[in-house]
Amino acid sequence: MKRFFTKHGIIVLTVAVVIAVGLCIASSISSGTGFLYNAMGVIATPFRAASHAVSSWAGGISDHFDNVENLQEENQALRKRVAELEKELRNAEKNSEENERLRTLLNLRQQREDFTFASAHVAGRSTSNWEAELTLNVGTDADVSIGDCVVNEEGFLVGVISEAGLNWSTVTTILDPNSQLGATVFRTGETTVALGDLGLMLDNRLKLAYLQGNSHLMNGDLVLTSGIGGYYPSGLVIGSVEEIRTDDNGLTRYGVLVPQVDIQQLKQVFVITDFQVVQ
Amino acid sequence: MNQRDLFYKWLFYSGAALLFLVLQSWVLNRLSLWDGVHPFLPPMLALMPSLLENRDESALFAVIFGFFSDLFMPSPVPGFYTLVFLAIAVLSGLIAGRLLMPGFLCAAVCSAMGLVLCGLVHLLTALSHPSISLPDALGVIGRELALSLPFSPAIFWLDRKIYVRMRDL
Repeated sequence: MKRFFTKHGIIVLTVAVVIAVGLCIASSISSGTGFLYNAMGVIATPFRAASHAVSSWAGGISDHFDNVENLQEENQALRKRVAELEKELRNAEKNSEENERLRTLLNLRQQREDFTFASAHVAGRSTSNWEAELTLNVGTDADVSIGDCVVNEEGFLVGVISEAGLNWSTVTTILDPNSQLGATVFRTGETTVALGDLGLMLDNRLKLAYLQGNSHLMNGDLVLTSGIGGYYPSGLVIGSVEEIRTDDNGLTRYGVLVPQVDIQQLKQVFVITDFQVVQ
Repeated sequence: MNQRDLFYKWLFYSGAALLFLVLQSWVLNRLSLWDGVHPFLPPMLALMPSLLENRDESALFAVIFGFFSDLFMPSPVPGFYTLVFLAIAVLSGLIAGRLLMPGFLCAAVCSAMGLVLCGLVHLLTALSHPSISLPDALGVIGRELALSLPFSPAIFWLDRKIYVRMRDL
């Protein structure tokens, strides 16, 4: 091959130049698509198609990556928006729950105009198994003081403030073994004492002790604070009688009370900071 | 070990205790696992470093931990946790030094001792109380022990990690 080009190279080059010049002249003289041009077009078409397909494919891939990037950005923006909306929804649900509680409280406020309330949130619960206490996020700065009664939005008794700091307070709940409240049975007017009891506390119950010998206590009887002595307001619902038992000594009876309020689930409570003593 | 390392060592022990206290207040306090009783970790947190560390330092740790427990938890008498945690930390140090090799078994034995002692002292202070009967109180101690003891290996494991890391420094 090398020898061929060495011998005939000049001739081949001359022939190629002559053909090229001839083609140029022919194409410039002829009008429309000449035979040669047409023939070359036919031959080139598949190559053109293939080239186009390859470039389209490459362009498609490039577009695909561009789209993925755009979609990722869009996806990220949408995720952010969804998170924002979910947060708004949570806040709305929380506000809605709080509104509901405050609306119920408004009814209570209308019924008991003598009460002054301080709203509080439950900030903590007792760690020990021997007590049932709650920590609130309000204290003396909201006029909360030791001995104030704490109720839920419906006016059901939760407990009594046992410690009060500047911006915190501790509630000894009605279940706590240290809790003692003067109580009255709504149906019969019988006056007794509602006591916390360790054994009953763990079952979310409390004791209605010192029942009179001729007591006609019945299951389902509603028990309220008596308000005797003016230490606590009267008429706050403590709970209802679930069962009547006889003491271990076999001589006296006591009632087992179910509190009207679920102390484990409390989030917001209201401290009665002032009330009118009914004589 | 210089003072800086000593400070960091006890800071890490305090951090480990804080971690379990967060678990206690955020999760365990809300559980009612066995007839209203939930696990109670503070006595184990107070005594665990005394299995591994110098007696004086771990006793001081127990006193400080008890002091803060008295501040943040209701107690039957003032200074209840300060005194009880000091007592169980000293006893645990004695058990770990003389009776058992400090390990998971020793941690379990000391934890059981600490929980029972804490419960019994609680019972003693409450015996005069009309609303706390002996069978109920013993039931609480037993259930509390059964529910809290499974956390002893985890507390010991974390404290031992701190001990080994600080010893190797």
